[in-house]
Parts: sequence; structure tokens; C-alpha cells
Amino acid sequence: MMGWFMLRAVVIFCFVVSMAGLTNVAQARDERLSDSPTPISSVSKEEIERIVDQRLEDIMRRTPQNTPPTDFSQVPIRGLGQTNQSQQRMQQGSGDWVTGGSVLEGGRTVYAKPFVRAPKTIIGGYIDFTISDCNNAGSRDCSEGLEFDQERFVPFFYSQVTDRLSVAAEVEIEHGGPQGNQGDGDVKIEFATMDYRFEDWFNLRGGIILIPMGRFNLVHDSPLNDLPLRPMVSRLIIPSTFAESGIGFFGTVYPTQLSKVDYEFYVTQGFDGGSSAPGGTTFGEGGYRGNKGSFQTDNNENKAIVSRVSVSPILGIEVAGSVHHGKWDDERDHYMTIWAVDGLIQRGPFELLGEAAWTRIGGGSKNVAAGNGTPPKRMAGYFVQGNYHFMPEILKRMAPTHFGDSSTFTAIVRWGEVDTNTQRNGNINDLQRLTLGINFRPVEDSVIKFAYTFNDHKDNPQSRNGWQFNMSTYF
Amino acid sequence: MMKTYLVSICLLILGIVGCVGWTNAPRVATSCSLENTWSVALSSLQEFELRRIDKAEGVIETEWIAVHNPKTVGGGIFQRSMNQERARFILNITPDQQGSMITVKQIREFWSPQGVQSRAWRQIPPHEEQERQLATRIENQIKRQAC
Repeated sequence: MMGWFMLRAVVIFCFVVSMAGLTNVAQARDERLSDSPTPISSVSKEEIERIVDQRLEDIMRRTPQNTPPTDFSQVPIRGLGQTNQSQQRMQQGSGDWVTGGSVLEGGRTVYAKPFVRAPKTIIGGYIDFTISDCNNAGSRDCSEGLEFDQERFVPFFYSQVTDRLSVAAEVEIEHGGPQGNQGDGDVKIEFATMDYRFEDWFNLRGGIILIPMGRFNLVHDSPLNDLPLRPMVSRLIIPSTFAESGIGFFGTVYPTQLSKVDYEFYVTQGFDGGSSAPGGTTFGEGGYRGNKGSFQTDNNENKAIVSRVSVSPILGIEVAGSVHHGKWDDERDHYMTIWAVDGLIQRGPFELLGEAAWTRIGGGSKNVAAGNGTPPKRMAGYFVQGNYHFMPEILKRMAPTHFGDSSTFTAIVRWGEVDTNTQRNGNINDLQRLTLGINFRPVEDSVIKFAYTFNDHKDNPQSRNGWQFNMSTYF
Repeated sequence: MMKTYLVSICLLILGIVGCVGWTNAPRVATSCSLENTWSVALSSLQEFELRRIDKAEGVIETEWIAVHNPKTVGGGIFQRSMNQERARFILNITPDQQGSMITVKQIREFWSPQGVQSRAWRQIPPHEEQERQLATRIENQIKRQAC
């Protein structure tokens, strides 16, 4: 008798699991039955299957919106994120998704929004938190004194609208947002794009585009980065997070069996550098981070072009070049061009990556006069970084719940230089930085980082060294 | 800023140098004729959609196949099932002194809808066990040919 009750419990559990869409019914049934501590030899497997199938049929009759699964095994893989697997997952999960619209009872109409009705939008995000303490004021991204900073809370959205059309977006809430206690944060779109896929090698992208300048700007999410601070070149020369309103094409080609070439080409709004006229106001040696163009209007009706081509001759090696070119001033008199090269080599536990960028500003001069329409003429910067991944086996043995198979430590060393007026020594952004760091990833998506930075400012020999701690995770 | 040029050049050189000899794909050597081996290779991929069949070059490539990887399928702290992997196989059939040789290579890519990762598929290491499985399947079929 006890065995029968256990069996019924197992069968009912299978129904619950199937309704939850967590796994496929047959698989769950087999697993649960085989794990059952109660002998089941008194009941035939056919009988169990008949009961389960009968219950399933009953449930399906009550929810007609659950159409029978299509055979997705023959569906070709679509572009970004759309594979037959994802379709199978969606289909399997459809019995469990809250479906509004046609279901009016129980207050469910509040869910009658496209993002809930169709199980094709993924919502997630990342969060980070930083503690920093540097000596004296003026160190780039590391303030004087001990500070706690909930730097970024970034929800993201990804939606597969059709097989060929997808939407991706990140909304960045920095330092608690503009309504924070002191109103010193902000909220903005980091990128929001619609991609229409034609083929792997040719796709259309429009919206607020993450500008493909250098590699770091394209992988700037905190959980992806191994050190608490971003490279200086990716703050001052490539003003990461660098996004502009625009439209263009991207794609991937595979020229040989092992090689891969990715390209992106966009036409964008370009920089809004202010006025280059005598008496006009423009940017100075502080850089042009504050002069990224509007997402809505163009200060000079001259569009910029931006492109990046990356070549990966073999897995683990990538070399890329990128350029951003357009007029920066209100008067439409002068061009600004940013060039960048970047590279990445991975071999076993070792990684070597780097990025260099140069800016040439038309109408600029070594004798900067930001209040008189004259920015610097040349800027440049670079960084090189070495990573070593390791995981002591002893830790996995001693604390397996903390140190799993996907856990890893990384030791990092980064050297970087930047100069926002290469024609004049000792400007406020003539900087060098050596960073030594270590981080721990309990899983790939989460990281706890610690680093010490040695900062050298050419304009002032005062020590600005300091440490940073950061924890960040996707969610 | 001479250093910037040096760094760029170093990266380029390392990239070029690194291109050499980093593959370790399984191979199947056989005394069968190239013609026989080609037929076996082609039949061993019968359940896959093929994107390239080039007998002159001795290359067969499959289309992308969605592959399941329980280790990477979850994403975020909730480990939602949303990350994806895809793979395709490339067979190189070449003549050698004993008869012919088949090299089995897998190209594998990963995609996640999380943040900036949603912008593109990125290449990841091949699943070596799957490469070996396909090589073994081909080897067994060749043995049945009894060349």
C-alpha cells in the first residue's frame, strides 16, 4: 500500500515538473522512477505511462493555447540567439509562461503585454559595487579617501521578435540614479539596437549603437572585466561606454576553415565638440568624454562613419582595427579621427590582450584654448594586460561548495598610458598606470576583484597610488 | 608615444606567430582509396545539413548545429536556460602515402543574451570528445569497407 502511495506521489511530481516546464515529462518520469526508494515492480511501466499520459491529456485539454510541439529539429539556426534549441526551450516552457490576453480571469490581464505573452524576451542585468582608496586627489577613476560606490546597476533586455529580428538594450543606472540621496547619479541607455538578420555575413543594425572602437568598449560589462578599473585609454581616448545613434551593417565571414573575420560598419551622429570659432567653447586636455553626440540631434548635420574589422586566424587569437571619423564642430569645419588597434591571445591559462588608440583633431593645437575654440590636436593611449587563470585543487577539496568546477582565480597585470595632448608634456591627463590585481569567479558570470594601482601623473609627482575592490555579477 | 607603436607591432607579431600549429584535430588514416574514403566521409555526415561539399579540395563542411552544453546553458545568478552554443564539423579528406587521411575538426561558438554578449557569437574551443566520436564513427565505417 505504501508503495502505491509513493508511486502516485512520484507520478504527481512528474506532472508538476512537466507543468513547470522545467524538463521534459518522459525524462522526469524516468529519472524519478529510477530514483524512487520504493520497489515498483508490482506496477508495470506501461501502467505508469498510461496514468501519466492520461493526466497530461487532461491538462492539455484545459489549456488549449498549448499547441502541440512542432518538430524543431529541422529548423535551421537563425542569427543572433535564435537556434532550434531556443525554440524548443520556448515551446517546452510554453505551458508555464503566464499568458495574458485570452486569459481574463484572476487578474491576469495585467500581464497581457507582449513581453509576457510571448516567451521570447529575456530580462536580466548586471550590478557592481566598488570600494576605492587612492592617495591624494586626481587619480583617474580612483578618488582620494575611502569611498563606497554602487557604480552600476544595468538591466538589459533581449528579445527575439521574429526569426530574423531581434532587439537588445542595456539601461544604465549609475551611482543610484539622478534621484539618489545626493542626486549625483544618472540613468541612460547604454545601447538599444534592432538587428535584422539576412545572413551570417550581412545584417542590419539600427538604434543607439555600441560603437565598435577597440575591443574593450564592446565587452565593457563589469562582470566581464578582470580588474575593477577600466583602462585609461578606454575612458579618455575611446570614451567608453561609447554609444551613438546610428545605423549600419555587421557580419561574420569564415574565409578559411579555421579563421573568422567580423566586421561592423555604421553611420552615426558623431561627436558634438562645440564651437571651433574664435571665442567658441570646446573641449580641452580633459578629453572629449563629455562631447559624445546627442542621440536625437546632430550639432553639424555631418555624420560620422565608424568601422571595426577583427580577424581571428585561429581560435584564441584576434587582431582588430577600428576607426571613427567625422566632423566635430558646430561650424562643420574640422574632422576628428580616432584610430584603434586591439589584440587578444589566449593559450591555455594565459591571456594577453591590449589596445591602443590615437586621435587626430582638425582645428586643434598643442596650445589648447578650450574657451577659444581650440582643442588639443593629438591624443593617444594604450594598455597591455596579461591574465593567468588558476584554481588550486586543495580549495576545491576543502570547500567544494565555494570552489566548483567553473570557479577560477585570475592574476592580472596591466600597464597603461594615456596622453590627451601628446604635443605638450605634463598636461593633466598625461598619465601612466601599473595595475596588479587578482580576482575570483565563483561562476563565470560573477566576480570579486581586488587591485592595487600605481599611478604616475606627469604634471605632478605626488603619489596617487591606491587600491580598489569590486564585486559584480550578471543576474 | 613610440611605445604605442611597439605594443601594436608586438601584438601583430604574436598574432601571426600564434597562427602556426595550434590545432590538434583527430585524424583517421586508411589504406582505402581517396574515392572510397570520400564516400565514407560523406555518408558519415548524412544526418547533418551540409554547407560545403568540395571534392576537388577534399572538404566537407556541415551547417551550424545547435548543441546542448549543460555547463554553459545557464546564465545569470538564476542560471536561466538561455545561453546557446552551436557547432559545425569540417572534414578534410586528403591523399597520403598509405591511402588517404580524414581530419575531423569542430568549430564551436557561444552566444549569450546577457548584456554586450548579445551582439555576436564568439568562438570557443571545440568539444574534443565530439570530434573523436565522429572520427571513430568514420573509422568504423571505413573498417567495414575492408580496403
